[in-house]
Amino acid sequence: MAVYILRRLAQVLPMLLLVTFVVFALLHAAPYDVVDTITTPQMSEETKAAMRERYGLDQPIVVQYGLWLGNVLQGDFGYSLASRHPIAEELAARIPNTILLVAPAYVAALLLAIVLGLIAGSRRGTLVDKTIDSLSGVGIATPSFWFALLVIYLFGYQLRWFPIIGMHSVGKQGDPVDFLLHFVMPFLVLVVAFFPELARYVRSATISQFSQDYVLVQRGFGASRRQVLTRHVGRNVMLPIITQLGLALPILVTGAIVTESIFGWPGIGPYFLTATRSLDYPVVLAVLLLSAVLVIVGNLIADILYVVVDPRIRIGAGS
Amino acid sequence: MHSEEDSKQMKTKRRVIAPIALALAATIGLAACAQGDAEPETTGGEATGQLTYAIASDPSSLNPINVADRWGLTVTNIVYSPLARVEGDGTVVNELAESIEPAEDGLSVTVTLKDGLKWSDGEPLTADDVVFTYTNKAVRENGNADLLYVGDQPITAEATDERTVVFHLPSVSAAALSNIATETYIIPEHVYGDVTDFSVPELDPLAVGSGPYTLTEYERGQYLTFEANENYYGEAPKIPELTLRIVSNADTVKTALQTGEADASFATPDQIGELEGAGLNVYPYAEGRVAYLGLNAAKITDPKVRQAIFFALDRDEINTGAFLSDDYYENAYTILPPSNTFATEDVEKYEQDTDASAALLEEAGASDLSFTLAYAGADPAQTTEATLIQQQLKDAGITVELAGIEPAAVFEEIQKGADSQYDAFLGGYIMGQDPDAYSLLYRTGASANYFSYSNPATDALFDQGAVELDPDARKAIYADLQAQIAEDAVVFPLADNLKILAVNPRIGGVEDAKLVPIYTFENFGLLTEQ
Repeated sequence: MAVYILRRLAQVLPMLLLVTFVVFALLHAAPYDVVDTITTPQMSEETKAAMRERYGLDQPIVVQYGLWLGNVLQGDFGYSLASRHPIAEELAARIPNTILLVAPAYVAALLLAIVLGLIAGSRRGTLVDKTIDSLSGVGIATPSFWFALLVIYLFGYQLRWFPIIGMHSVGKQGDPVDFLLHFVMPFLVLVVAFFPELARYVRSATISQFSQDYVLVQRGFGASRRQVLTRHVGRNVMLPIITQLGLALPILVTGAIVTESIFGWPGIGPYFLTATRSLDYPVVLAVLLLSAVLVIVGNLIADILYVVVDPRIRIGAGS
Repeated sequence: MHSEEDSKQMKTKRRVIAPIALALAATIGLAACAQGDAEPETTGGEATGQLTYAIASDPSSLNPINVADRWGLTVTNIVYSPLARVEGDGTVVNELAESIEPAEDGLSVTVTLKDGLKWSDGEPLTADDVVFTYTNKAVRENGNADLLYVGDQPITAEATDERTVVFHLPSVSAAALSNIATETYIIPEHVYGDVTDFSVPELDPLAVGSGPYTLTEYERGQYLTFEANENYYGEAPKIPELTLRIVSNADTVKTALQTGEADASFATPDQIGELEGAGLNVYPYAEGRVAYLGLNAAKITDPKVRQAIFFALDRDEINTGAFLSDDYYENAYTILPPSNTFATEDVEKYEQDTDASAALLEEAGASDLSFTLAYAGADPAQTTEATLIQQQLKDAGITVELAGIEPAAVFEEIQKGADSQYDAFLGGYIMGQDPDAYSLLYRTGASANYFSYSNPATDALFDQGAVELDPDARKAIYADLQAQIAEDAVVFPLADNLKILAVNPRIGGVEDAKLVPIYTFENFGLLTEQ
């Protein structure tokens, strides 16, 4: 097991190098650079050239990448080219805000998905199942952007129940009631964005479990559908859910970019979007690095948990 | 067998889930109730002493030495003061200055400061601060020195006593007065005297100025808060607290205006109907902008072909399509916006004339003409303009291929001149009051000459206009200049599209606060609550 983990971790570095270099190269393939996004027609050629020199943009791609990599390996994520702010500081301020929004939403979505998925899967073919299934279908097809605007229109404008901008009102930082009011709408949008896929997943897992022999045996013993669901099927369905949890790790950072932008929630989303649009490559690479690490680590955790939870699976059995 | 335990487990699950759900619902419900009347309404209500202005993005710089972006300049104008302002009609309004006297020979300007000026921290504002500011601004590496240069030499400043500053110009320049006053906000030497590098976007402390407000808090990506500056030399702000809320999504801003969460923000013509319906006041005003169709003269080299293209266009149709109503734009016929005092209509306007267009094409021997037009794909106004241009030219037998891309990409690519993949592009600029500033776009080899345009006659006129001190003579020179550039047909000016500010009716004093280009309000402190 330990060897397996170490082997997997050893694959992390080359993957990260590849991901960051490809993204870096793509950013530089764009016909313009970050200096073009902050200059005005009033600035002379000398001024623009001086800026490029200061940001190191006049050097060959490989050199720029090498410099960036060198800094990162020493723990220095560098500065945003557009704002000159240390990236690590910005990330440290914004990631908690994103997690604060995404984590509860994902957990709620998961619970909702498990409940609905189990209900639908166990009552396959009935009206309840069809309703839940089509609800999930609609949920998957609905763009979260559009749903967010709908929520704002209904709850923010028509009903005036909740404020629509940001994470807290000006001057009310730390006020829990104020925070909750700002929290409800983006939370709702995210739950609706996350749960349909999970619900479908649980539903199909449930259906496949129900066709197993042990269910028939339990029914034979006189167990009610509820008991079968919670004591037996439920547990077996949890297995693939756990792998989903591992794969969902990167969502904590990049799962709410659009939603955060619409509500002005001060998380990673708007920061990353602005940087992408202005080709601010240190920011883009830093966030991507973080996301890639989480994806890889998440996969690893999922694989390990799967082995731990299911006694039937042993590492190396399939390889 | 298992039934009792099972049902207990079941009950436990229900026992756990149900109360949690109930508690959550209760909290939300209670909070919403408690929130109830704290929500600002769009009409009526008592004065809160607070104004919220929604802006689209973070300021790129809060350092007055190099600030050049709209929101950075807006904030700078709230917290700092310039020596003077040049209004839209050319008049000079004194701010920190008591008097400004250009010398007879045009080689120096003497500025006397008002008496008793103080910084927000109580220290006196003196000529040394002015010299400090201008000296640092003139340093090229700091990133915004170009306006303070006449040719290759910088304008220098010298304090002759506590309240007097003399600016020395390296050579005669008619634009110098405007350039000295424009966009230069004075910073305190006693606070920033030890700063070694002024090229940074933020100073430490963030902002100590002499403007109507002081900056109290800046949460990146969220908001900036201001409160009235008690040491302000002018009228004390009527609304003591100001918040600039950063909201990037246009739909969110619109809803915020409707619910009253934001008191003011810019709006687009298509939103006017809804906003007015919600009771908001709408103020369209000219920013002195010129939206235009530009041609790459290095690729479309024959002036007859360029003129033919222009004659095939219908300016009014394009403008009405892009800006919805002539309430929201003014037709532009020259390189200068129509509101500019030097603008003239005595030029070739290229009123639509398909016969002239066809005749010119034939003369030039160009048949089946086709070219590519690049524009900002995400901008709805430009998209409409591009589509209409394509259609109008098609009717004249010219094929246009459209390329909707990132705005920065348009300019980067078009500047490649003959090697560019684009033959034409859409753009817009705000260059200010003084026509000499427009030389950055139209002079041979100038830094913003996207058109690859070169005409020695035009360059000569720019040179003449830059040093002519007699106002009437100057006006005549620039009239000739506009006519010349119009004849060369590298730029088809479309309109000065008006900027539209939507304001909650509880806020008044908009005329006093004065809507101006770039800064939104000349003085936020003159807005009132009613």
